[in-house]
Amino acid sequence: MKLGGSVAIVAVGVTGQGKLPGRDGDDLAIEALGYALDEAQIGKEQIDGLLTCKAAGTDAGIDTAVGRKAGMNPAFSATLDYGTCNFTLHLAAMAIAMGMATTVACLYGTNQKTGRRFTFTQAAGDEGSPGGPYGFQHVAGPAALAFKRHQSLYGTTEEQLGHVAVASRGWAKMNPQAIFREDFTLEDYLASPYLVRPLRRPDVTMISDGGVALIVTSAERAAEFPKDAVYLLSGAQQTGLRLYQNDDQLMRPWIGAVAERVYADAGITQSDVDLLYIQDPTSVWVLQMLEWYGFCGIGEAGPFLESGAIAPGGALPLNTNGGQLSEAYMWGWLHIVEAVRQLRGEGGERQVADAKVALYCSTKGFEKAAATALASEVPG
Amino acid sequence: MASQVDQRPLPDLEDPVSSPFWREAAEGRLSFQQCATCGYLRWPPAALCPECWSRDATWTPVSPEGAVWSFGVYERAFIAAFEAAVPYVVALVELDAGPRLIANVVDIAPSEVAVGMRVTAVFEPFAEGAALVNFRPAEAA
Repeated sequence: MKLGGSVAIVAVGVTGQGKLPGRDGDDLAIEALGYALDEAQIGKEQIDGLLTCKAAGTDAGIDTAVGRKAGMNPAFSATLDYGTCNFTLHLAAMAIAMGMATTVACLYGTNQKTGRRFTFTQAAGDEGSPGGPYGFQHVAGPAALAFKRHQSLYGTTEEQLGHVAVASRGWAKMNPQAIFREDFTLEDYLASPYLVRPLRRPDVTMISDGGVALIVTSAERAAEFPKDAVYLLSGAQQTGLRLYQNDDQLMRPWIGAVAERVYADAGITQSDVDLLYIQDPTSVWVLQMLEWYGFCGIGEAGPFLESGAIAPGGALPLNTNGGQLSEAYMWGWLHIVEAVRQLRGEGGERQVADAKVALYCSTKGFEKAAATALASEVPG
Repeated sequence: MASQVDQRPLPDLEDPVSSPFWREAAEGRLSFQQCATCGYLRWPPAALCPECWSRDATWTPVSPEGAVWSFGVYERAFIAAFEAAVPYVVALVELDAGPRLIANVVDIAPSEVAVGMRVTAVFEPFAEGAALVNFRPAEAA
């Protein structure tokens, strides 16, 4: 999807993150929208598109309920059954491009931590092959299989993978919004207990409560908002819905198709990317997507990580918010918020100098992948 | 009393589409629905062939041998039913016949399991006339 900067994010809103007892997901999403409206200096009646995202394991995130609770009658509204924000952002861009709406609020909210509704005990692969009877629970299961395969093919080490969690923490320490900010070294990583060998606890996302909102509009309208707009250059998706009917499904080779399209449609290459965001329910997602998006060769992510490239001060600023391993688990939505803040120059202590282009890559489990290229300026 | 989340999830033997798989396993056979139109082996069980959309299929035994595509060793149980089993191996096995199954690898120390290892199916009864399919190392040729 070529966007060429025709659509822009003009405001973001984020609630507190962590344990928020007594709040439900819709309540948190609406609170986040309030902050985004404040930032945009508009009222809720000026939102004519509402996109919500179901929160896994809870009843939250249905557009009809959120509209009722927030007292909104937008021209267009819809619910996505899955998160990571890319999918929602692409739907917002399409709605704006097609004239279904001019000013779209994209919302996500969850109480998955205190509500104890989402505990990762679900079977990790029942759709592709019944896994529950065999104790194949938790996302760490398929992620462990994917990493073990990578190790077997390419000689990747646990220590190399450990650089993902360590670098995430390095960035999170500079992010006041991050939940995990304690020192965390490679030695700490290697001393952590295994969950599903070869993966350890720090390879897997935390669970947390919170809400996030974005306001998306056309480039023409973007100038009317007080904050610097962040423009969408392109968006691309690819599915692997056949699951284990596909070869090498857990390696997700079809992500490569997203990479080809997102770069071609944006008119950029990997070398133009100043900021890289990879949604990270496990560290293995980072390893895989560094390769599929061409930041290193296939099979070369281990040495690439070991080189320190993604740590603060490295050649490739990655998940400068700390990601889901250290900041908070907002199903990828905070990665987009961080891209917006960095491209506006609001990164504070962790600001990446002269950052103009960001790429956000995410997946919906082993079923879908998506990416968005964003920039601080409309391409000339 | 164990809560639902503490219990081992087991296949639904009332499901007419998938239950023959577990019933065949109890007879020592690894069988899949073979499409009557295009010959494709369906996995997981389905009412419709994902290749050609034919509804006709015959449960057909296949070779129980395959190779470990990859595996992980659960060092922690995420539901109570598996606490006694830790550490246990979950693998994705690519059958020589084509389908890829999630299953346990048994009769071998977890540290001895390897990617690419040849395995053969073994059957673990879980109800009257129904068994799960696991894998153990294949005999050397």
